[in-house]
Amino acid sequence: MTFNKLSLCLAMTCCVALPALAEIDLSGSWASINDEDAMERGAGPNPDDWAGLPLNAAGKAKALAFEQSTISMPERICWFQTQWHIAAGPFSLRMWAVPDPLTGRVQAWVIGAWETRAPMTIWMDGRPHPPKDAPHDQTGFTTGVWNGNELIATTTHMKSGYVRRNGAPISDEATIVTHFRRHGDMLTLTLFMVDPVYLTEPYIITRSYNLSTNPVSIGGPPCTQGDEGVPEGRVPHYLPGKNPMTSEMTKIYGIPAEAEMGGAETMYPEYRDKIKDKFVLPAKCERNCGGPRGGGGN
Amino acid sequence: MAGAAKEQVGKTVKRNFTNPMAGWVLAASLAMCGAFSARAAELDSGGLEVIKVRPDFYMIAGAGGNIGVNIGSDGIVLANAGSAAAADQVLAELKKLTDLPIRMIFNTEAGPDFVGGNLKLARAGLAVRTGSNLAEIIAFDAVLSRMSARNANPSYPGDAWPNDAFLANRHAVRMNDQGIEAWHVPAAHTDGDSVVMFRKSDVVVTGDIMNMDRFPVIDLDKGGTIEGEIEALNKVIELTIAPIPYIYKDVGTYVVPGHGRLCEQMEVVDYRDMVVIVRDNIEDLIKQGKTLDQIKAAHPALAYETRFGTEPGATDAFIESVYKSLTTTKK
Repeated sequence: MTFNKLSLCLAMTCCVALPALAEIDLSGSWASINDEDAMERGAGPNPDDWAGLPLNAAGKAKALAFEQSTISMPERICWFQTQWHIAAGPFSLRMWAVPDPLTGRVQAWVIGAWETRAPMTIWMDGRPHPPKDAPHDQTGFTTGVWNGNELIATTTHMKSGYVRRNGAPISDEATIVTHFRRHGDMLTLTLFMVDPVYLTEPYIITRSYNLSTNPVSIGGPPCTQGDEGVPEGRVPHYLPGKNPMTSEMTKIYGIPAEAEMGGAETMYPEYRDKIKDKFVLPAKCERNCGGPRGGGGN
Repeated sequence: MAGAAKEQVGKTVKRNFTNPMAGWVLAASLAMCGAFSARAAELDSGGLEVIKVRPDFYMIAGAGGNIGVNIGSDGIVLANAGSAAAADQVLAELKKLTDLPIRMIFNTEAGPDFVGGNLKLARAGLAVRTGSNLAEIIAFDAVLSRMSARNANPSYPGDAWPNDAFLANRHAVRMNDQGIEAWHVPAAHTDGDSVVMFRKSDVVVTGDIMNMDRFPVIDLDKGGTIEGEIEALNKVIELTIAPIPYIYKDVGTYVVPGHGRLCEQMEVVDYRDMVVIVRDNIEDLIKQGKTLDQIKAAHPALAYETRFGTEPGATDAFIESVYKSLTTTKK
């Protein structure tokens, strides 16, 4: 083998080997594909639908105490969702890279804000997460690493919030790990929520996006603290056993009460076998219909 | 066939994502990463954690109760002094931050994890008004009464007592080019609580009316009440400002709680709401004629036990104090 051929061979080997370490360009506007969990992400989930969430006893109790007017409290009107809202909300993503001014390497990836979620800055420069007693803010603190062509981002230091927009809680001790995988013009996010306070197991969901030429908005307007009818100092909540919404899923869809309360086992397919004898298909679907008698309200 | 294969792939993918074991491996890895980063910060400071809150303000954690540290042209103004055992370490950390003397120490209450360090820190200081080699110690009068009591336990020498005790609801000074206000919040955690606001730094130090590590301790024997605790938290909410209208562009007023991590107004709102909800739950059970044991068995604080009740006995102690506070008040 001549020197030139050897060089060429080495160069080709490097080229083949490089993708394992390669970064992928994630920049652009990514339009959300909202087929999956459309109701939960759009109009919002049914108030008593906590099925499929690995809530522990404390999480269930907190969800049952949740009254929707909580978010109309004067102190909470300008409250933001946590970064989990990437998965729980309907919005599209816009991502861009921030270069290090000296080296030109990507110092951070940024996902632009929405009206109710702060931007997510994914630090790629190896900086550590803040110490445990550091403040938790609206953005959380996120670092990222490349695993081949997959970006893995870890978010800590968030404020408390909701894993589902009907009061299913997540605590300020929660961590989100987000995997970004790009396949051509499609982007898939897989999000792992770990919360030692309210979840017994990680809650894992995926969201998909299509590359779009329509620019996605990267921020909401400044917030105004208006009066939404809850007097200052009032703390809306339901007393134990007094939540009036807890039978809605049973009334509308025939789903057993034990299933709507969630818990880890309700995440798994085999749970359907456990409750199949308790499930009664309604004669007529009244709201948000799907399934065999769904569509058109049949 | 294609459909079946697709379905099988879908099942495989789903099972991989929802495999509990894989999830727990991930969780354990995350927990280890978190533990390492927190530990690294502690080791650097001999077990203390020094958090820079603002350019002129720090929070020292791990010295008993949290300590607020304001540094300016006049010197150091402290909000609380930590425990006696940690005083040398606190002094060492302060020395790393500045060579200026300690001028004032505000005590938000009389608990040993907040006043235990008074003696050493005051003696390392220099008073402004008297010129003595003893920093001024400022607290609500009940703190002085408690620390100087004949049967005080632990007992404190005179140099550790507040030498500027106040009786009004508000006691204000101007140091380090800013207004510093101590607001007495009556009958909350105890009868001697105050919260200290540093106006220019935009930081409020609460003492143990807010404890991010556990349910609040309502010390009935020392004059604490559940209603006073709620009013005290409302006062902190009133003193603080959320980052409105630019929610994520800036932060709002910082809050240094008695224990646990640095906070903003939203955490105070969360904490106040927790206290109100548990109070309401217990009050409802009292109206139903339940006894204290029956109320404890009903788990009125269940929604918060995994966050604030992990310390053994913390949940029962909170329920009991709320129950006694409510039933005593109604007599």
